[in-house]
Amino acid sequence: MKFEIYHQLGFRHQWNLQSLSDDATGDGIIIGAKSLEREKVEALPANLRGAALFDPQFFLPGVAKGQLETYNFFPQVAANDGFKSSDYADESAEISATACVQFQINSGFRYVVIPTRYMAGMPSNFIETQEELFVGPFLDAIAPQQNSPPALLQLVVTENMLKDDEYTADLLNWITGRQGIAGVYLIFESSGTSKQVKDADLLYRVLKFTAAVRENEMVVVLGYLNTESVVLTLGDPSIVTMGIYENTRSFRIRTFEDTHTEQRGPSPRLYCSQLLQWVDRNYHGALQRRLQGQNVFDQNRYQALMFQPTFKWHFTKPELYKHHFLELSCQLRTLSNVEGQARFIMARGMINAAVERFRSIEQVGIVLDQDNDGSPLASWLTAINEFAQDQGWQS
Amino acid sequence: MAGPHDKILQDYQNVELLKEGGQKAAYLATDPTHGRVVVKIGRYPSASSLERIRREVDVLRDIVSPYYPKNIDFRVEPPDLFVVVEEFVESRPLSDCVEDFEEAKTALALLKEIITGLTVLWDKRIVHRDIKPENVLILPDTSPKIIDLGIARLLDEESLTKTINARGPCTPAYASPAQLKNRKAQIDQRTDQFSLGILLVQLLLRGAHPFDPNVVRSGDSIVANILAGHWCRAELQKKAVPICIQELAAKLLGAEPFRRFRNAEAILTAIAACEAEVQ
Repeated sequence: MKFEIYHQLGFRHQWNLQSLSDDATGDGIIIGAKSLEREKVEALPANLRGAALFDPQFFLPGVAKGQLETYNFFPQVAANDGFKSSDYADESAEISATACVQFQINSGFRYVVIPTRYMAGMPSNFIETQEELFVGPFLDAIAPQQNSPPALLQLVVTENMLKDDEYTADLLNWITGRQGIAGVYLIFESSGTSKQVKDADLLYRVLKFTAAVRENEMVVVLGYLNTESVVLTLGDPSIVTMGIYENTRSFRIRTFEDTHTEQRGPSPRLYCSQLLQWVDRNYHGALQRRLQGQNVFDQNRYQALMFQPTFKWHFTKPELYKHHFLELSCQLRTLSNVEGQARFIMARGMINAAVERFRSIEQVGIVLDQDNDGSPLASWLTAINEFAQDQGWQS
Repeated sequence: MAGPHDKILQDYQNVELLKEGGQKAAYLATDPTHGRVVVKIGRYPSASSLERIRREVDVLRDIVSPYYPKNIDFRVEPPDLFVVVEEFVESRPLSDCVEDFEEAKTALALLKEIITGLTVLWDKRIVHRDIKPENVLILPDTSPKIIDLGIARLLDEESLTKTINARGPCTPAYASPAQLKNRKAQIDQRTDQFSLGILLVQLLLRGAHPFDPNVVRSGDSIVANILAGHWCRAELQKKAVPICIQELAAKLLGAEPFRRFRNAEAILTAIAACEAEVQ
């Protein structure tokens, strides 16, 4: 089935909205409560809200970071005296769920998102906790609503959870057996520290998880994706996401902790669709000189602007991200237009072409470091080849 | 000669012993108000088994459906007997007439009716947990009635089976892997789907059990094959059962609940698609 592309909104969300309206780079948005205060969300145009998901971001219910405190239903705010899970379930869960559901319905969002509590590792009480704190109270709050849009269950799955077959099966049995939800808003957390996911096993398992939920004819929204979205489209998700800064392209719980402060800004990087990779500004000169005429950099109006001598490269420049959205959305749309085996062949073709491109870069003496090189590609190929074998897709 | 239940049965006429076994007996009798009835009398060995019987009766009393026998009375006779009175249903157990449903079209039609009947339970968050040919009665017009809710699980109520048994309550040859492993958290309506998958294949193969080692040609026992996920799809292929029905059976027999159908509606949609194909 065709999938849609959503912008994962965070800091500088106005660039996402501009890219959506000016360049038609997506089909909707996911609004993160931490980054957008309630009033601003309510002021968004109705048509935008109609194609939006609101992520309440209850991951750490006792930490009302950023704009989370502007939402009276955020657990820490709703519980007044500070969040304690046992007291919360008894007293505040129902009030918070009712207010949050009402907010989502009144705002006219496409789905009602049932939030999740982040739990590290693979706790034995994961399902019970989610049921008690959020899933039960939210579904109870949705049930009497005549005009509620379909509900999506948010789920943050850790690498440990995904890599344990029995744990994964329990999660799948729970999700697919829970009546009253239309699907899941799935976020996976990689324990890797690299800018791209390089773990073939993890990607393969996310593919399998996505496909299993989809086989139950449920919606799957994959949040917080970087370029591995190209790989994950093979699981037949309903919606994939793109984001501006790294904290919207990879889920890290630390960004929701109150002790976390943003680190010094990274050096500017430009997305190169042929490489399926972001490449640091420091390499651009060498690439231009050594691969002259080979169009390593995608040609579009943002590229033209950025390669003017007067352009001041900085990671806070919107052109970098608008360029990324334009190019990646184009690649994703191409994949969305085909299904199953054809999508696999196309994605594999893109990855193989990127491998070749990196080889030619290496051959002219340019040595890219591990954040900019093609090292993720071998794992991506492994993941999709293994998944294709499971599906019986022929190459 | 006086029987052990004469005192209880004295209010009925034309009493006839239908079945006797273990601690239970079933009688066909005429009730002055309700006509022909089945009177089940048994001994309850523990408070939890009495509670289980009471739950079955409560479930049946709540149900107004042609797919279940109507409960007329339930009482406890001291010191340790229970009495259940149900409407009498002129019928044969499906186990006695599986061959009547061998044709794909009739098998699908029966499956659809059983699922429609089970939906009444599933909608109340009740899992039957013991679907098998013996527990499906076939009426003269071939419509089914589902019986024996003795181990049905009410998902919203506390479990009655706080056991440390390796196996949960079930008939092992018709149990899902989760029942056999006593994984209570996995018991939901999809548990019944697994038993329905076995039943469907039995209809198509004139009673042959899909996990029977003699049919599968591997494994030591039906239970071992259920746990290993080995069933006889090849036999269906040999019999040229339409692929859509093979796939329907395969999905019902999915080893994990998430591999089965999400709900009754999804199964009925799949059955409708099969029916369209076998027309």
